[in-house]
Amino acid sequence: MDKYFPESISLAIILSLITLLVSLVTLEPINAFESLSTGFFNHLRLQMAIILWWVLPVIIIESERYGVLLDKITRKTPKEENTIYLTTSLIAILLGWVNWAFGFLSAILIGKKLQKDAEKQNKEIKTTPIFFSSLIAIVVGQIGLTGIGALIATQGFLETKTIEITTYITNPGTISLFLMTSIGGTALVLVLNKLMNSKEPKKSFSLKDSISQKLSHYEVPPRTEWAPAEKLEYSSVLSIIAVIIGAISIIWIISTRQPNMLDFLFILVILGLAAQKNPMAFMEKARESTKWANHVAIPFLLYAGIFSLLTTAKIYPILTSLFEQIPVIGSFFSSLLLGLLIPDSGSVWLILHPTITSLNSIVSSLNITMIASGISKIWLGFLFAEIIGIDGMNKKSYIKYAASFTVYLIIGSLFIFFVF
Amino acid sequence: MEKKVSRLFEVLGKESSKIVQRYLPDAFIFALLLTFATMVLAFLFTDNGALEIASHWGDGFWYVLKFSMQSSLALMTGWILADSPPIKKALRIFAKIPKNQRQAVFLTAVIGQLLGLFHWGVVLIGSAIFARSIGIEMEKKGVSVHYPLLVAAAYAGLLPWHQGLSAAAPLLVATEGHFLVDLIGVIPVSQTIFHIANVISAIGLVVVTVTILPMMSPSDEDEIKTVPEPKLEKQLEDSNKTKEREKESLFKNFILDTRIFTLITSLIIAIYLGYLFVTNPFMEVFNLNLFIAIMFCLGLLFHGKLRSYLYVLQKAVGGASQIIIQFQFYGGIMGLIAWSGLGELIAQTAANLATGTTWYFFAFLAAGLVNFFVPSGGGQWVVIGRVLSQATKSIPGADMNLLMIAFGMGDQWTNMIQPFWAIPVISIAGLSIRDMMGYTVVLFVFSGILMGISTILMGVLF
Repeated sequence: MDKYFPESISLAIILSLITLLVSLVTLEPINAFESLSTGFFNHLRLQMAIILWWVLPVIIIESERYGVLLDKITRKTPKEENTIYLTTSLIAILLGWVNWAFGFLSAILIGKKLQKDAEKQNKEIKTTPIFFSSLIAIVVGQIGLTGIGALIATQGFLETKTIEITTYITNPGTISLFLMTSIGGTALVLVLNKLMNSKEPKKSFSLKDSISQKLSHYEVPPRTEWAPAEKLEYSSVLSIIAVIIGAISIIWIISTRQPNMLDFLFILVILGLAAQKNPMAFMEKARESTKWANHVAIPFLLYAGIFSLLTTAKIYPILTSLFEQIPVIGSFFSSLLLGLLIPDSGSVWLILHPTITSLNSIVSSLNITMIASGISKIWLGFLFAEIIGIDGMNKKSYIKYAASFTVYLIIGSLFIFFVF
Repeated sequence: MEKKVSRLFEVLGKESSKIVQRYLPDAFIFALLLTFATMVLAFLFTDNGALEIASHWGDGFWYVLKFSMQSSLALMTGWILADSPPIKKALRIFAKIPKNQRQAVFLTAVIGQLLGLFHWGVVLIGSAIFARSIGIEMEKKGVSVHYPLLVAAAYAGLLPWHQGLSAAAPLLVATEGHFLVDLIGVIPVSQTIFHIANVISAIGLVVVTVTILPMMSPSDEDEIKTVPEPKLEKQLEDSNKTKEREKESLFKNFILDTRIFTLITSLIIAIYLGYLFVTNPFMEVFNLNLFIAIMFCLGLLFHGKLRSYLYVLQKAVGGASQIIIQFQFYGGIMGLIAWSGLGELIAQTAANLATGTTWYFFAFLAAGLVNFFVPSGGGQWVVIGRVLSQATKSIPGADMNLLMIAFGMGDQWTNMIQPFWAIPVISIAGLSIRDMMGYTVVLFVFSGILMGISTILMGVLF
């Protein structure tokens, strides 16, 4: 897919130009140009929140302290093939429900470490099943506690009904989707692994002796070499004070109201400070982690332009009437298709929410858009693989796994939507 | 005599560099320390309890979410524009002009000042590229040029930025719905950036800068530190690398290498902006959002190929990480100051001490001092903008627009001794901060005198 995917910004530009052309049916050219050029003015808060949603959890996971926790899990896990895939899936499911990065990155790291340990015992463990077990986190992450669509709805960033996060995660439809994805996804990995026996190319993903070593990124020189300024920079005391005050603030928030998107982001900031060994390590990891936001930092200007064009040209009511007879299928497949072109599910929600929410309840709309967008991420998995440096997957196997996952998840999701 | 002055400047520079490097921690450390200090002050001088103070911090944390995005976009789009092929080509052509060391430093200073008046994001990248290009050209001509001074001249372009077109605080307060709109309303740029007091003092600042910098050129060959041409050329090659084309489909190749999409998109934005500025008074409508739109449009146009745009985009996003994270901490400090009542207390104290004549000078000093701890101009406005605005309202005869000008001067002033923004410059130029900071300290002294006088005159004349 990487061979064909022409990067997010290119697709954002092409989508913008197509939308512009369509909007010219009802808009004067200058008004259409205005919508495209200035559409982002109204969504700057949302854009920053989405960027932070991508960046902040990575700061927590990619820390030495968190790596020590993961090492403990790998030490206690038997190095048998199916156990490795099951453990990877379990981590992806449980942590992925909490947050996409928690699940995906933890599962990848654990899976690869177990693979390396098993290979030392001359057992062949494949990368593709490990990767797909981890990818389950990306899908369940969309409908979990910090799913981007639900979080946007908790904050009232868009003109939709504001919801509480507990309302969303306890909804029977949401729970069913989670169970269907996690149980079925895990079973699918095991079955596909048994059915396929393709050889994998050589791996170059480097994992040192432990995960914590791999995640160690900030070297502190010996204390005797510290300049006065560095005594503050390397001090963990500053982080500890900030974490204590932050924790008090978080307790205050949780005890007085349902947390919204910004509250969750605040929790992630404080956890990030706690996970990294000093303030400078926190900032260095923040800088590195911005690579997870490349696909939304500038392209979002165009996504917001598309939303503005569709709104001012009154195209949303037309789309709504088109899907009126097939509200679920129409909403689902439009989200799936757009999700293939736009890697960020929050942006997919921004563009599609007016039509989908006018056809379905807010919770159903979120479920439809988020799971469909999550499924499309299976095909964009190479983007994530590229960022974390995972290779060693057989292309044909990847396509077979992705196709099987897609078919299963589409059928499973549509079944759930028609039941609930 | 001239040699003595140069020597004095050099010694000044060397010593101040040592101090800066040894005692000045990273800006993020200051963000944390300021947070704790503000909490202690709020606890001691207001009626708030510990729990309330912690909640004010949490509530304020996201108060400038929108502005942090605007600032990030301003930096990213400016960075992308400055690192575009036509800009780099133009800078290289200019770099061939000077014939001796003084001319080289003078021209670098002039280009830096012009870029700084245009955009703070552009100057950080553009002037550094220019300094490097001049370094290469002078090496080719066999003329010795003190490279650290050249880079310092490039960085000095940041000196007039908060009086220029990209001035963060004036552009922000000209934007509908900015975070202090309830307190100060919307102030058009005609009353700030294009106010006669601002224009004259900015011109004065530019003249002083481009005069002083060449005077610091060492005349003794032994003291001239050049950088070998191959090293500079290598850096140039590294920055010109774009993503590999191997293993790409024809479709992807076409999309990334065609200029059609970027041209059409930038043309659409340009037509709209042209229409807007023709049908409305520029001074009334120009604001931070439009500025970002202009930069975005120019970036697409100048890069042409999306492949080139993408390569720089990745670097620019990484460059904005400090803003993305740190601004939220500044928001937390603002929340503490605003909601604990500390802001009113400070403003009232300032109002009791200052008059309509002296207030702008105090605001200039305050902004200069705070900038040392909060180096981002926009971030600083987040932290002290409310307090300064409240104080201005309390002082008879003080004007909000003149406060904005004085604030901008203070903010840009101490950039010369705070190396936060020098990081992208030195990474492009291939030097350490220690090498160049001494020269900017000298500028700090002279520009401080000039801007201090300007703010006092503002109080007397307007």
